[in-house]
Formats: sequence, structure tokens, C-alpha cells
Amino acid sequence: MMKEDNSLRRITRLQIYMFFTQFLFSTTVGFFIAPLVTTAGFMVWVSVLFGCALGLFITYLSYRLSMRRPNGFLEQYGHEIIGKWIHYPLIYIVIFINLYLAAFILRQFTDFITQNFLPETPDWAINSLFGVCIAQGVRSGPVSLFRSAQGLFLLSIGSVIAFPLFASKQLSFDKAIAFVTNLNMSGAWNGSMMFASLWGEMSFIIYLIPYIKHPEKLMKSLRWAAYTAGVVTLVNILAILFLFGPELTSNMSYPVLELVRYIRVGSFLENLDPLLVLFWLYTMYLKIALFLLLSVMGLTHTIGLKDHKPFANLMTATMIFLSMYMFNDAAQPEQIMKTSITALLLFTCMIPALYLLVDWLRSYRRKRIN
Amino acid sequence: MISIAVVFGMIGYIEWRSLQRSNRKQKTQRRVVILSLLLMLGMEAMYINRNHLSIGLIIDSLFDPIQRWIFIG
Repeated sequence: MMKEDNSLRRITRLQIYMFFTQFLFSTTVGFFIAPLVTTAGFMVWVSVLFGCALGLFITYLSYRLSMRRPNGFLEQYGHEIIGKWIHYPLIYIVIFINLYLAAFILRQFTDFITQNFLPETPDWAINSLFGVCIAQGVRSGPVSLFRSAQGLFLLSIGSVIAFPLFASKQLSFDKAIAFVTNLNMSGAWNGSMMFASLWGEMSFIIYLIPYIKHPEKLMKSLRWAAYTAGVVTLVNILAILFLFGPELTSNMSYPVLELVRYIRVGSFLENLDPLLVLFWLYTMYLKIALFLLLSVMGLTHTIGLKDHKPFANLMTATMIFLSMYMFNDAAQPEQIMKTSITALLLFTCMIPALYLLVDWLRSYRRKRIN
Repeated sequence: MISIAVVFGMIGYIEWRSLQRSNRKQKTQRRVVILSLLLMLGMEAMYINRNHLSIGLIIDSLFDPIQRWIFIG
């Protein structure tokens, strides 16, 4: 039996709510709107609702597993459930996938910044500067990272909600009928899977359970985070569809940026896009930092080190080099978002569910024998 | 290529020195040095083969069939 260490438990439920709200809408609003609209068209609202519910269910499975051993890290007790020959390879895969996801989002971030705001700046400079910030966040640990999410929560959520509000005069609400008449069930299903894979990322909370105060009440914070981020995403997607329609949206790289550029309320707001985008970029920092932190912590626990700090800078450097050299050109990340990222995310999110299933079966068998 | 070796060499050395100064176990120091060497070699290999072998595309080829199976149509 693992001993409870209450000195670790410093992440509050409010911090979890604020962190995961920003974590969920960050890349979804930034990079996933075009693939989602391409897949689901006007049925994207069904995808958002169903995907949100499915993502919460995946997270719930992870939560149930964590409640069976709330004082331990999955990396440390997992071999008791599925045996060390499956557990360790699986955990190394999770470590690599988390590192890959951090590098992938960093690459998307760099492409976005260089294409829109810093065209002459070399990639390595943006990566290194952003990487230094991420390394500091990761080195500080999960408690500091979750606390930092509180700082700009209202500003980041306010700015993302403001995108459609400022552009409301230009929206063509006549298209609203298409949300009911343009039925596309296969598209809605595919979109739901994409959305579920993004919302299912909340299941990664299992790797941080010993840091959370009152983990038994965790699900409520996650549920509210999922709802809030769902509303933020839906408002943005609907505004984009009202403004551009599905055909034009699916041909855009960054529909939200186009929406922000449509803001023509007054001279004061005309050049506001860098400011609005700035707060949204902060949410991306949180997402990359969490993926990297999970990778670093996973490695620390698997190797058997006391703290994660010695690995933080090394893994950050690896993430930066990966993001620079793992793709040959800028088109590859966009292609991967359409062809494999949903399966990759669902696979990673379902790993705790696999452990839960085996744990349930084993305890059921034990009960029958006794 | 040289920059990868320099970056990992510097970070590895700084981490190793700080572990030494805080009197951490020999085993911990060894693990940090080994990891920095492994990561450096991995990144060098990726850099050298970046035109023939893209890690992104390898992962894509692994998960693309699963995604085709999940998606309808």
C-alpha cells in the first residue's frame, strides 16, 4: 500500500478548472477548426456536443482508475496491474507520444507565428525563445504550472470569446437553417471522434493525481472545464461558419485569425489582432508545457529518480529539435492533422481505460476465487 | 549538426555539475549523463536522416490505418 504524501497535494479544483479550460480550447480554436469543418460541415455543432460527451466519458474512465490508487503515479503502480512486460513499453510509448505532441504543437505554433507575425524571423529563434519559457515552466513543476494558468485565465478566455463578438455585425445569420437541414451523419461522427480525442486529453490528469487536493472531487472541475471550453469553441466555430461558410473555412489555415482580421468596429480595434492573439498564445504555452511535463515526469518515475528537474532542460531541447526536424515541410503537420492525429490522441487517451479494464477483471476474478 | 551536440553537451554538463554540487547519488548523475548522450545521438540521427526518414511521417503511417478504421466514409 502506498503512503499518502499530503505535501504534494497543492493543486486546487479551481486551478484544474482554469487550466483545463484553456488547455482544451487552445489548439482546438487555433488549428482544429478547419479540419473539423472540412469533416463535419454544418453538422459540426453535433460533433462538438457528442465529442465533448465522449471525451468526458474517456476522462471518467481515467478518473475511476486514479481513484483506485489516489496516492500513486500510474508509471509506478501500473506494472502491478498489467505486468511489467506490457507496462514499461506502454509507458515509454506514452512518454514518447507526449514529447511528440509537445513538439507537434510547438511546430504548429512556430508556423503560425512565422506566417502571420514574424515572417523574416528564423524558426530556431522563435523555438528557442519559446522553449526557454517552456523549460522554466516544466522545471517549476505541475503546481506552478497550474497556478500560472490562473493568472491570465480571464484575459485569455475573454479575448477568445471577444473574437466572434466584435465581428457580430458582419455575420450572416441566414445560414442558421443549414445547421438543421444539411444532414451529414458520417461527417458528424468523424468530427465527433476528432473532438473526443481533443477533449479526452483531460484523461492525462491521471499522471498528476498525487498533486491534486481532494482528488475525489476532481471530475466536477473537469466537467465544468469541458463545458466552458466547449461553449468557447462552439461560439467561435458558429461565428466562423456564419461569416465564411464551410467551403471557404475548410480552405483556410487559420480561420480564427481571419475572423479576428474581420473586426472593423472602430479605428481603436482595427489593429487589435496581435493583442487578442497574444492571450490565446498563452493557452498554447500551457498545453505544450503540460505535454512536455508529463513526458518528463513519466521518464523520471520510470527511471526511478526523486525529482524531474534534471530532465526538464534536456527534454525541452529534444522537443525543440524534434519540432524543427521531424517534418520536411510545412504541409506535413497539416496533412497529419487530417490523417492520423485523432487516432494517435485516442490511443493515448484510452491507455488508462485499458489499465482500468484489466484491473476490474483481475479484482472480479479475485472476488470469485475467494 | 554541431549545434545539436553543443546544446546537449552544455545542458548535460550543467545538469551534471548541479547534481554534483547538491550531492546527489552517483546513480542519478550517471542516468542524467546517459540520457543526455542518448537524446543527443537520437537527435543527430534524426537530423542526418531528415530528408529520407521523417519521424512525423513514420508516426502518421502507423496511425493512419487506425484512423481510417475509426472514421466512416
